Amino acid sequence: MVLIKSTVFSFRYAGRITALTRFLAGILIALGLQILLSASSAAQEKATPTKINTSVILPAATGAAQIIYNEVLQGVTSHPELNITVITLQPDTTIESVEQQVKSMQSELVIAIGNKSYKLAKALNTPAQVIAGGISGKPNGIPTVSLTGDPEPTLAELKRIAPHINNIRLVYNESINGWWYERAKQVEDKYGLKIIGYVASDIKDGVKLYEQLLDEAPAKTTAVWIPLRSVVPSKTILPLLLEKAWGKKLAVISNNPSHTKLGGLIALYPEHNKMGKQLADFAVAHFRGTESEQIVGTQALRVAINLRTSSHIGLRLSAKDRDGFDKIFPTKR
Amino acid sequence: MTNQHHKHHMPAPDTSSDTSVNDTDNLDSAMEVAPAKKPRKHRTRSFQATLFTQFSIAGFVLAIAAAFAYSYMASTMITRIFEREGIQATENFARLSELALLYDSGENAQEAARATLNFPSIKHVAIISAENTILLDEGETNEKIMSSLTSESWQKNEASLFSSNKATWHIAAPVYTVYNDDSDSSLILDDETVAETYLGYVAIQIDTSEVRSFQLEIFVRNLAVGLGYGLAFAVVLSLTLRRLLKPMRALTRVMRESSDGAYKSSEIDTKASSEVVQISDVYNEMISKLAERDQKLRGQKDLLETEVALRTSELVQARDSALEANRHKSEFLANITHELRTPLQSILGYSEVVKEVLEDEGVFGCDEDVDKITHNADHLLGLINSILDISKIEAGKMEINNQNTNIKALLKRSADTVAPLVEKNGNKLDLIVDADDELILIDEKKLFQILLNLLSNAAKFTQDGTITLSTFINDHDIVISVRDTGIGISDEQQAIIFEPFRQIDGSETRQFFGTGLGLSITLRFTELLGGKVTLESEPDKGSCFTVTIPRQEALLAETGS
Repeated sequence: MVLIKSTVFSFRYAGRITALTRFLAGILIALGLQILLSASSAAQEKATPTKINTSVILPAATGAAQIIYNEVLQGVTSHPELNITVITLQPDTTIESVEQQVKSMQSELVIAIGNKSYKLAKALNTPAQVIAGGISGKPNGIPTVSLTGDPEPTLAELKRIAPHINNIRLVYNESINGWWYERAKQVEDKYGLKIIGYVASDIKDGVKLYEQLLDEAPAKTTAVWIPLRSVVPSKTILPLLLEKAWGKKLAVISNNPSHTKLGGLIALYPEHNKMGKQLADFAVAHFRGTESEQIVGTQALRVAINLRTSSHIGLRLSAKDRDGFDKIFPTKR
Repeated sequence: MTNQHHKHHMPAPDTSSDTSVNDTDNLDSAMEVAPAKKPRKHRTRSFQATLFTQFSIAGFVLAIAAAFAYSYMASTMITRIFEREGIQATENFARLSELALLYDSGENAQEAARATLNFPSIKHVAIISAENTILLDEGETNEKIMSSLTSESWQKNEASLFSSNKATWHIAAPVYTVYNDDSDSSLILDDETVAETYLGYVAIQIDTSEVRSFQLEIFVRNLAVGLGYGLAFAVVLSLTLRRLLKPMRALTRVMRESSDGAYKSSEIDTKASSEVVQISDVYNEMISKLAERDQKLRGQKDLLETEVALRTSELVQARDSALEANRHKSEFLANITHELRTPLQSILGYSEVVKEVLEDEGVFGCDEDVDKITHNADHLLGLINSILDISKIEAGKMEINNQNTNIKALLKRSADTVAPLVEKNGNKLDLIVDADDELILIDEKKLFQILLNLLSNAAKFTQDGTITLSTFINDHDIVISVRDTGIGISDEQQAIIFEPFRQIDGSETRQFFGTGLGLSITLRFTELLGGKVTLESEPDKGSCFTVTIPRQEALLAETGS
């Protein structure tokens, strides 16, 4: 009788233990699935990087300046990796107030557009990475996308419309345009051009060197390049320079469309929206540590041409050629 | 416009007025207090002249000051304009000198220098590089601008006058060269694409003689205009004053004529100023009253003169009668006393004869009676002599008979003479003589009479006392005093004591015998001798009569006699 009872008891309990085991096993499986799911999710997050909190500083502007700043800003904000806060500099804005905004936004990156913004950003006391754009100065510790166009598109355009030109001469200031000259020298062979630079220490020196350059330059096959922030006084020497170049049928190229208006052949100047995109890319690359250049020229450039000059120096431009120009001088009245 | 002055005398005043006498009195007293002043002899400036002078000076000063002030302002403005033009020319030259400085070649600016020197006042131009090298130095004058201009002395950001003297200005302007890349909107992002570079400076020398001559011309013209205004002002002022003061002058003329007694009234033009009209009205009122009073005064004066003449006539008559009567009285007294003395002398003579006869006949019982006759006859003789003296004095017949006299001896004699009288009343006589035995020219008899009168009076009115006769003689005076310790004389009595026939009251007359002529004769004699008598006395304490007679030196010819 006792045995029967104990057997009954055993079966009875054995059934209960199995159910518990199944329950525990279920929990363990659920936990394991949870862990697996979590790991998968983390891996997925790591594959799509987080946005960078970015403060974009630009001065308050009106008219044409406002349009240009907005184009650059649109280019910057189009970058998908940037979470952008715009700080507009008013006349009474102080460095401290900008610092406060940068800190409150927890910005990791600061992009300064234009010279005023660059000056303020340079003085900021912030752990954020500072990048400047739209200035033409020399590198000054802050990674910069220069307003000066990259030499290569200019050389390509020159070669395209005036293939007979085989040398380019320019007067430059080492501290201002040195980086840009080096970049030009790097690509000269690619276009079959010889670039000869005359280094000027100051403006008087520059004036004399321009005179020397114009005397030495072989007629018709030489282009004279006037870089931005060059050492050419615009009111007195520039007209003389253009006059003399005209006389020797030298092609004057520059990065300032007004030079073309005055008699230069072509000028390549920034396309601001694209310059904004380049600036954003450059900033992100620096932030990620994948970019080491301290200063680069604007890659996306527009072209201005003086058709009277081009015909004076003997260029024959087709209608198709003309379609590629963004500004044509002299303008039709 | 003319003023009409009607001369007319004021109407005759009403002399029957009750107040006429009082008015006259008032006028008299007023005339005593404030005698009429004579017109000033020294020339005084007229009101018109003073006003004209002061206003003219003020007008001229104002005009000249205004001319100076305007000239100064105009000069300053001209200087500023010239300076501005100079600066502008210098800035233009600076702009045209950029190439010369860029190429370090003055020849590049030759054209600009010539153009600048074409300005008439610019005499010299220079271009100086930043390194202080003179690139160009041209001009008419030999003076080099750089001698006064160095880069240390002048470094400014804009054109300015850096040195000046009386003849020249030096203006300098910096030369900058500019490059700019902002001429195209595509480069607007970089606002530092414009930069200036300092190349040096230019300087010009300006001859300021033109400025100075211009300033001088302005000053002279302004001064001339100012003086012209001043002159015109003076003329207008003169005419205005003449017109304004014309009534005043007319009034003054009338007043002056009135001061000579004409008593004219003034008739002022009604167009004259109210003040002058008021003065004229007040004057007319005053002159009217004055004429009235004067008329009254004249009446009173005539009346008084008549009265005075009448009274004077009466007085002269009375005086003449009195003098005549007095003369008759004196003559009568002189005659009668002379006539009286003759029988008295007979009485005295016969009395002595009677006394001698009686003594010879041994009749002695009648001596005393005869003595009384003699004594009374002597007294009567003295009385008559005294009356005779008074009469002579009053009739002016008393003569002075000066002779050399020993005063000391005279005093001794007089003392001896009165000694019996002194002793009679128990008195003591002290004689104090402060004099030598010198001789003095004097009427001895009269002085002796004076002494006798004073001493006998003292002896008479002093009982058991002391009489002191003292004398003091100096170079000018003979001073004789008789002091007693007698009954004294009251103040009332002192007032009458020297009058003839006056003696102290009745009761004392009985006590003190006398004629009452002694002191009167003493006073008259002393006055005849040119002296004076003074009296100091107090009742019950005594009296002191002092006779002071001027001293006359003894005649030398008679000294020995």
